[in-house]
Amino acid sequence: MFPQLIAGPIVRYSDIEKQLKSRNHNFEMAAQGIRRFVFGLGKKVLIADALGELCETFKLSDDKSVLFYWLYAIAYTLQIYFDFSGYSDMAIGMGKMFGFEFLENFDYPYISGSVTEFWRRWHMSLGSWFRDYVYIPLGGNRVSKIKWFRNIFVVWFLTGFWHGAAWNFIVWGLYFAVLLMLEKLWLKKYLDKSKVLRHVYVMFLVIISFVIFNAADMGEAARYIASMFGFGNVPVFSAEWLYYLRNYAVVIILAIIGATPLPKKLVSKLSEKNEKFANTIEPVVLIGMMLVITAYLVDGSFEAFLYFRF
Amino acid sequence: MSTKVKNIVLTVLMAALFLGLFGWNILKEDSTYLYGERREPATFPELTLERVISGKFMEEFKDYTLDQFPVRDTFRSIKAVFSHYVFMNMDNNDVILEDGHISKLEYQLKDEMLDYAADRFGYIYKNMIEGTGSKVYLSVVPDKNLFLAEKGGYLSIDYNALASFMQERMDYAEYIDIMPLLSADDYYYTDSHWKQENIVDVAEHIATSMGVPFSDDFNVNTFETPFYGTYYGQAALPFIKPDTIKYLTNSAIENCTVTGVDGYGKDVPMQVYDTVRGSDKDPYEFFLSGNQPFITITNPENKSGKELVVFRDSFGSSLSPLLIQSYSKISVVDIRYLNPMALKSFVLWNKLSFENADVLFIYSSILLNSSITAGMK
Repeated sequence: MFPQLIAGPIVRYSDIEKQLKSRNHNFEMAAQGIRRFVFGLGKKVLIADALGELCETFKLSDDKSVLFYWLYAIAYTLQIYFDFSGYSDMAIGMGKMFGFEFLENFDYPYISGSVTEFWRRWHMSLGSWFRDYVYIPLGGNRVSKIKWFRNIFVVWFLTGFWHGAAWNFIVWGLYFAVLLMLEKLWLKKYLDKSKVLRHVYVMFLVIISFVIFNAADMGEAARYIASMFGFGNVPVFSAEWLYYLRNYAVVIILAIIGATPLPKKLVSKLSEKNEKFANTIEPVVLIGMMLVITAYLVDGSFEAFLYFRF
Repeated sequence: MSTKVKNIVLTVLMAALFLGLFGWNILKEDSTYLYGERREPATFPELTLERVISGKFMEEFKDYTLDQFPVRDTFRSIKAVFSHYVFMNMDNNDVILEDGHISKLEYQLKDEMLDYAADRFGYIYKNMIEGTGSKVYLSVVPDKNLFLAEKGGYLSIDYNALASFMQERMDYAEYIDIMPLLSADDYYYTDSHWKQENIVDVAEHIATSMGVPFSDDFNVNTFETPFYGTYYGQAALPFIKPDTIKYLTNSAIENCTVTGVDGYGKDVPMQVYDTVRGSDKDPYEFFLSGNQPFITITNPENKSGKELVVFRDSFGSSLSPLLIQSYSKISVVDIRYLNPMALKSFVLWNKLSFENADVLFIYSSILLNSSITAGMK
């Protein structure tokens, strides 16, 4: 009944070598692990799966419009973050319950001010793995400019390939290679000038990247991106867009807020202000959350009686 | 509470929750029927090495544990409440709540489904009705979203387009438009069907359109068993009250004879209002015992010799009794349970005749728009 832990941070033997031999088991770590696991499961089941339904509905819709394409692209960008970071939280949480301390995998990537920063905050264990096992052995940036370009392209080609053996993943990886090089060579100085603009810039490029990432093939990716900019022979608005925007508005708003450090900061402030109250409320909230998550999982097998047909 | 105590409390409570649900799952007796969803739950899958290796066992085991989860309906209610009031989703599993009515979101007009239904009706017309001197009529019962969708901002199908499509494909039938006579109040709150006590005007309009006399003088009776409609279980919202089934009688209904058929085509005596089925899994089967392939209603009080053949879905179950006063005999046919090709046997056995009869095709938009069983085409 529970989602299988098939994703999570890449844990290297060297990181847990000592912990495999000696680690602590105590209520503090168990409680931390439980909290992390429940939040991870909540991110996956309550947010990511709901946004996944929206994306699925969009793909099956016959009433697509420019704004519906954008709604899909934003929903998928949030879905993939909550899905993957949720899995990572669950893995880290379960590790803590068993006395392991795994490295963090996400650090609020959607608050980044540049694509370079985004990749320092997104799937950190993958980034460091490619850095240590591919980029640095190739010479890193301590080589000629041409070789440096080559190294970046190789790393991002492999990063794309790592996500799947299809052209859209390769293009997705190389898309970031180009962006990272542009930033290093030219864009960085401009990005530093406006906080708002650089954030819009990152999110715009990341949203486009995930449209490529989630496409069935490059043809679909091109069609989707063209449609987002009004070149898809679809209307600007559609009834389905409006309905699904209203239907998922709260989930999307919660997801946007949840993708920032704001909730964590609020909880920390509450704990600092009234520790006893925070300690009392925490088990209630987590048990309640676990029951709601279980309810969503159980309801996942809902199968309505089908009106008998001819 | 100190942090140390909180850590212990949280760990113990969460362990108790996990172990408690785990133990309950194991000890609980398996359910045999899921009333909310009106279906049988998954049973424990066959355990063989081959099935475990292929992944089939775990796949089916997941379905089994979810279907057999302790207090499943309570968990579904928690989800429905959370979805409705916290996430403010407009629908939960496509089920909507508007003005106290529970309904199901249906908004894509499926041409291939309508085509399929029209083909089936066309087959019947060509092979059994054409040349018999019958007058053929068509009526479409809109689902209640027609009246709820716009108000609540929900998506709905284009009912006029659906009706036009069927009219075009069934040019041998005269269309009787009943949509203007209906409103959301004419449907049950918890079910997709219409209320018999509210469709007397619909029956009258159909009867007069077919050129037969009709009296709207009926007695209204109440069937005491609470009616939890098909959408009640799907919505899983805890505060919804059940409906009440009311049924109409007059002298013709009280004195008519109802006959069904068993699997071998043998006559089986039936009733217009079936109190046993009305208290069973689907209380709407109170009307003409629900899903029956072939029913004959004979009215000894009507000496005109006029006959009506109704091709219908479940909406016709509550409508047909209201029309019996106008005919000597009504044959009620449900081609979901009777292959149209087998219908010829009923003509040969003199159970059914189209000669100079009125023929009414009355189907709900829900059925017409999803007329093909998955995988059939």
